[in-house]
Amino acid sequence: MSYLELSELTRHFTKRDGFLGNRSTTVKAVDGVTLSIEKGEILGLVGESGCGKSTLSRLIMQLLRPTSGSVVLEDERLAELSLREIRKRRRDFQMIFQDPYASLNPRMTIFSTLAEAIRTRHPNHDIIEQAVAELMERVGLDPRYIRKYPHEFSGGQRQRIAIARAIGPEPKLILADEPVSALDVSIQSQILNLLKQLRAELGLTMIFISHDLSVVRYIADRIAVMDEGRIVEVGEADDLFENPKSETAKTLLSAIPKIDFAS
Amino acid sequence: MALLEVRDLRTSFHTRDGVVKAVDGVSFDVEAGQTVGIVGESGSGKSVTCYSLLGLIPKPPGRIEGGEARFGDLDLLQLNEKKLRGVRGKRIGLIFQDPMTSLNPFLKISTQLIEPLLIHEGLSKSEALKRAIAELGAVGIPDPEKRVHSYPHEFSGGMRQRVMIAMALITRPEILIADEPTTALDVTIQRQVLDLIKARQNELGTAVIFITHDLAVVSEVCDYVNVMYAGRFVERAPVKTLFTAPRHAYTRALQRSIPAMQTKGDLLYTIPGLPPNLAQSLAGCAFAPRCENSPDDPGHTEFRPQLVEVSPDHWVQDCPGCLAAPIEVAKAN
Repeated sequence: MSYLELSELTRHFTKRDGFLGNRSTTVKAVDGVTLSIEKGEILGLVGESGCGKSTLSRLIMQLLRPTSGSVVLEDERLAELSLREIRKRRRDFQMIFQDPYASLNPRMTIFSTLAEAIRTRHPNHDIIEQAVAELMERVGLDPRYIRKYPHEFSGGQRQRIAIARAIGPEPKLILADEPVSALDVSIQSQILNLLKQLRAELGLTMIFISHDLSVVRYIADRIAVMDEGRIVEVGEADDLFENPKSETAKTLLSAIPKIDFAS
Repeated sequence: MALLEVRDLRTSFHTRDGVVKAVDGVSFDVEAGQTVGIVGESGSGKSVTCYSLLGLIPKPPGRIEGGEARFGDLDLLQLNEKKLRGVRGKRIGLIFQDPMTSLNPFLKISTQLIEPLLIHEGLSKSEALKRAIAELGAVGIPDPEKRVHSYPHEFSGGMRQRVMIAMALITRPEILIADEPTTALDVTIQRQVLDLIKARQNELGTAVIFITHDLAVVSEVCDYVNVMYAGRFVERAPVKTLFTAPRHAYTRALQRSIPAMQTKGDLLYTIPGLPPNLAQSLAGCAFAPRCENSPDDPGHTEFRPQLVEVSPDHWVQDCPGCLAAPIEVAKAN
């Protein structure tokens, strides 16, 4: 049994339309996804906009309940838990978002943001100040800035704060949704290095969503390609790059702008 | 004579923290039909350079401190607002990064698309609408007769960017300024939009100034590239030369840090430090604090480095330390 197992996971959305709302159309946003992730693995998830990546991630995060199918984390069937139980499990799933300007509360200092994150796991932490400082050091931020607000940091530093907030509750799974797309090339590399380093130190299990395939290739162990709600191909990162089998993977790969270094 | 000749453009912002020299003496030419790239990190002054040309800098706090921008017999920097309006949106078109914020959500596409024709060409509404429909068809919007009457929210992100391109090109401008036009789009849509800009450019002979931080995009679309750092151009070269024989340490460091260029498992190369605070005056080389010095360090210049021509059309800032920095550009595998 793998660490995280998705089997036949499906989520339909029904839209009512027509006169008096008596007709309905069903959108199969996620349509029978079966996927497994080992502990400590980074799985890349790629696909065009609208392919169902976000719905799938919300299903894994337990923010949406599936129409059918199951999510099993460490032998526990999450889809069958009550909402109250799910709320308790929520600290086990953390997300890192694309836009570090929008995902941090502008009215909370770094200390309060990170202390809140740590307290979800250790409500009565007595040396919280020290724990926050350690967390900041771990993600490469100077603990001197502990009382500062998000707007006082650059984009790359903000993304470090967002990462610290995600690892603060000691989660079982991190879902990073386009975590470097909004950053400059040179900052992207720093954040990718940090994620790799944290994986090595803390044994993080991560799902890494991105439309930039070269980034996914670099960071992910395996890549899953999604199209119209289904997983059309899963493979070792390099394998998938060198010899893609599905049409979707081929299209995605051929669309990447390439630098011509040949003289 | 080039279509557009920018000479020693200097734009600064007078803020409470001091005078921020956002653009500090840049010069470049744009030839008819050419694609000129301006590439650099956020805050390096790429967008300010272009907005200065079109009078889009908020004044105050912004101020054009000096320079010249020859466009035909006009100097864009000297024009008054009224005359600028005759250039902006007519002879120079603009597309921005985020098509949702640059389209008015309350107005139909038709209203927004025919506006430049009514203002600049004095066409009647029905004639203008015909042109708008033809233009939408040309940028690949299916069923343009019907779609022209839709609102922006009825289009997807890629389609909206197509509408923006149609709107920018409807007056047949001589220059199109594209400010990060594909940054908000995913790869396949990015590919379509890049191909579309190229195709329309070939048909209409428009020159394009392409602003981006994505080197891969630059290498595909541009003929000539200006690398910008801290408000100055550090290196200027034809696109092939820039990627096969980059000279400046910053250009090489940028190319080195692209994840696709690295072997999996290796630590990614990162440029140490942060870009300088532009509110403080930079006497010498702006990149000096972040540059990896060579073992036999020739030192960074203490004076403002001038651009020198190292090979035909290839200009680089003459700073001994930056030219000698031991940064190897990784080659694509």
